[in-house]
Amino acid sequence: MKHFLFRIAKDYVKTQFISICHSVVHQHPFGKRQNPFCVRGVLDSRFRGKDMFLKLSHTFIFSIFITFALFSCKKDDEITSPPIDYSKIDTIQYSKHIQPLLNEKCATSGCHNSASKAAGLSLASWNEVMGGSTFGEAIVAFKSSKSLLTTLFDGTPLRVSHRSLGEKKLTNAEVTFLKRWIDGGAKNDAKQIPFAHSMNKLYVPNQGEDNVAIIDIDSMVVIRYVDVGNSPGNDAPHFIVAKGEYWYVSLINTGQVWKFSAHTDTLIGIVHIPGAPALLSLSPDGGKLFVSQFMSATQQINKIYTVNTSSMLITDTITVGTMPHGIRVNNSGTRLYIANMLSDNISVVDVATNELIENISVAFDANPFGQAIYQPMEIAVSPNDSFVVVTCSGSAKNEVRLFSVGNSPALTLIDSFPVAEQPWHVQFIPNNNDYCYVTNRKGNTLSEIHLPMRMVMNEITNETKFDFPHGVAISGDGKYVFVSNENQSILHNFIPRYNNDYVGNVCMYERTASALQFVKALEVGKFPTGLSIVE
Amino acid sequence: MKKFFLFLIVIVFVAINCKKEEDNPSNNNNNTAKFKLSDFESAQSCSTCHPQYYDEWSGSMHRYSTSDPIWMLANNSLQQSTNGTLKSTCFQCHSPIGFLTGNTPATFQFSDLKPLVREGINCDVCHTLRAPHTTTNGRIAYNIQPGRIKYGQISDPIPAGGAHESGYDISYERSEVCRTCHDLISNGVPVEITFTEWQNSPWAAMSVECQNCHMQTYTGQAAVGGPVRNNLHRHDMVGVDVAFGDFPNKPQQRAAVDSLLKNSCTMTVVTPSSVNANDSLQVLVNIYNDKTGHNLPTSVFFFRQMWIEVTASKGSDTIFRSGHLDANGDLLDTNSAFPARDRNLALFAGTLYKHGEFSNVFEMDSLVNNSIPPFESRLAKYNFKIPTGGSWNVKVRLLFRPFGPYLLRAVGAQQYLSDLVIFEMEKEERVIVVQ
Repeated sequence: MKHFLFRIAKDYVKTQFISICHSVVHQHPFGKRQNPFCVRGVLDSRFRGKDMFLKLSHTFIFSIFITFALFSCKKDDEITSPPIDYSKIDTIQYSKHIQPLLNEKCATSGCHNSASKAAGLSLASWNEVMGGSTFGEAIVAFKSSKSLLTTLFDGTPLRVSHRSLGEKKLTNAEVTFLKRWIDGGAKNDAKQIPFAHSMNKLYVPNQGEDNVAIIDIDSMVVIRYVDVGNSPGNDAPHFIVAKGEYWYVSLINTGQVWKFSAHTDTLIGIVHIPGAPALLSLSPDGGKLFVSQFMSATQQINKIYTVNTSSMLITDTITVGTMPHGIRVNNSGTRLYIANMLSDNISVVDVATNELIENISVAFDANPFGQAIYQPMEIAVSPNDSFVVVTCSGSAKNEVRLFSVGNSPALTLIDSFPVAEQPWHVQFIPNNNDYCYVTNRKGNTLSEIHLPMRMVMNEITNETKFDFPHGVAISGDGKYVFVSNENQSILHNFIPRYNNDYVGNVCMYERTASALQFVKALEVGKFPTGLSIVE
Repeated sequence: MKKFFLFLIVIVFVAINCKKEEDNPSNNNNNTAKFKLSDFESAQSCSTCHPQYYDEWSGSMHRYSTSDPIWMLANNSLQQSTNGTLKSTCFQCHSPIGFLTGNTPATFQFSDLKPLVREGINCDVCHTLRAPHTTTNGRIAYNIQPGRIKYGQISDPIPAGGAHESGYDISYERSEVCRTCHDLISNGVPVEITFTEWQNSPWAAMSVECQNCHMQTYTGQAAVGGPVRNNLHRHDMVGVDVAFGDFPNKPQQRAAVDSLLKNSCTMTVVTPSSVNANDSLQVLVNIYNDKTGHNLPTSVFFFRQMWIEVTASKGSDTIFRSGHLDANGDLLDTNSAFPARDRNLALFAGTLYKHGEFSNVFEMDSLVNNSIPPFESRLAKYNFKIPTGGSWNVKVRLLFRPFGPYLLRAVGAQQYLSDLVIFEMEKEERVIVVQ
């Protein structure tokens, strides 16, 4: 259509000019020697006349219409330059193939060039592309299906329209080409893979889609998605624990715990756990991994397992209370504490012998029918090993209980803190015995508890980001607090940018002298749960 | 001059059309889209290759959803009482194909329904659903894509030889695929919110999904001649509802419902072993929802009847009872046609209200819900005196039926009263020696 219009326009303008110039020539004293396309000639005052004026007016108006008509058709690039056949590019070179494409379609003024940085995103250089936007990453190396740069254009419905796309929309061939580059590692000209040597990583299991999102804490973008699980169905990665060289993830539905290298994020080993592995804890030297279990719909569980992390084999089975869930080794590596959700008690285990020392009740107003009303969910130990806190998620309680550590009894209840509904995971600040943080799943808050003052200092809310906050992790320097949000509640408080499916997020908060300051919410996968940091 | 203006008009016309070509929107496949019946396939066409699934589904409540005489009568009754404002609300879930294709007569007899509509929630409805699966607030937002690709939870499906293509969708193994019809808000009030009840519970965090209990896993062939797989799901989708009248696999369905209910909670009874005659005797009955991933009962909790029956007797001499039925088979509550009331009745159900008066699910504005959430319990206390000595038997039962006889009579379905059974969920007996 455009070529046809262009040809018509060209022919018509040419005809008109020739006609005008012929008129000029016929009236010019120098006859046909005058250049027939000489416009200057027609402006000669000696040859002005009504007919010529009309012809000129027609030509001018027509030219405007033609221009308008042509520009109304979007694909004007076909006129100026033939499309690049991206399928014939074997070796993708960033500066030669990717950046020019981004420059043409995205990194333009008012959009994503360095000066404009719409939504905080500049696509003017490889480094800037990898830096992402105010809201998170633009691309995830090796995972085009999770890269906004391409999913914006591949038919995935957007939640928030990309208003400035206009005629700069990427073609299918261009999107396919960008996907090739991303899935090949999104390398720059030096063949560097982005974030290949990231030192501070946050690992987030996405229970609803069988992968682990890896976030670079320094850049606060998702840098990788690692697929986990080997069953034909939903393996449901639930909890991650990390220490030094390795990280481990529990897979509920597969009955396995997978071990990964923290440097390469590649699978190293698998241990099979009877039943459904839940939470994990590592001994300080990383040699022992303790695994709690979920109960099934028809069977109550009262066992935890000790795994030798070198051989990835179960070495011990320890009988504890009913439905052991929260599990944590103290920092000196001498004791293991287990929160037993359906027997309302805490099991204390000697790590050296793997023997149960004592079961300590969390309930002093125990239910006469023996059923759990406190339902201790998660447990944490203060860095100096002097205190243990337990989240009591029972709907009649909704509190955090504080115990002091001793010999006999092994734990003594000293206080309790009412928090919002369904307190879930809990974490102390590393090397700080004063503060711990608790996610309140149904309450949609994060509680900041100050132990010396014995009070809940802050109940942090975030109406548009918190939706069933689940896991909590804190950076080694205590500067940042991270909260995973399932985003599966009836309200769906968090509206993702795209995907049209209710993916969850990880909220990043910075600890200041006075308060927690919200920094960023990063979209991850579906149903993010127990997250952990490798530094 | 004329030629020029003619040419100008043509050019402008062409230019405008050129613009329109570019702006042509893609097909919007949401709940506002209308489908044709021919867009969907009959379950019968699936039965050749999937006989096992077909047989299981044939005896399921998904198949029964548009063969349910109680539903039909209730719909017709509500259409009249709401002057037609009910519209196709019931069809949204009972026959998604009818709803999506506009085949939703206001009042009807089964013979009025198209054969495909009468298949209820058939294979094509569930296996062409795509995420997001959202809670329904009044009007359902199906994201349905009928066509050649049938989606499921098998991650490595065998390409079908021309019958259809197979797609993997992880949501088919998760509760969210059930959400659209099992998470309903009415007039801004969460009512039939089985999904949310589950989502709010620790079961969701554990990834114990709807399918774990209601579509149990087995080993077999998904299709005739296909590979043996260990992650197939039963398509009988057993819950607590039962079919009335003639329906395939009816005895198996009732047995499965009975089994499910018997493994849904824990009842604990506390009594003294002995009392003095005429002293006050207390019987404590605690119902603990420790095995069910949602409230007990759930869904249409305002129709459900789960209650405690207590009987203290010695031979034919009964000194105390609660949870017994009147001559019509109803509990002695406000639905009984008789004036007597059971003041000790422990009934786990609920009531819908509009402006403080009893109402229906479409017009309600508030509710009272006495169902038991996961990992919560309810305690019932019974106090009575036994005047004479001897060994007295205290029998406690937890009973359930999908709805009471009063409801059948209210919609004119008396002929099915004899088919309404009571399931015994728990039972315990104690002997108390009265001095």
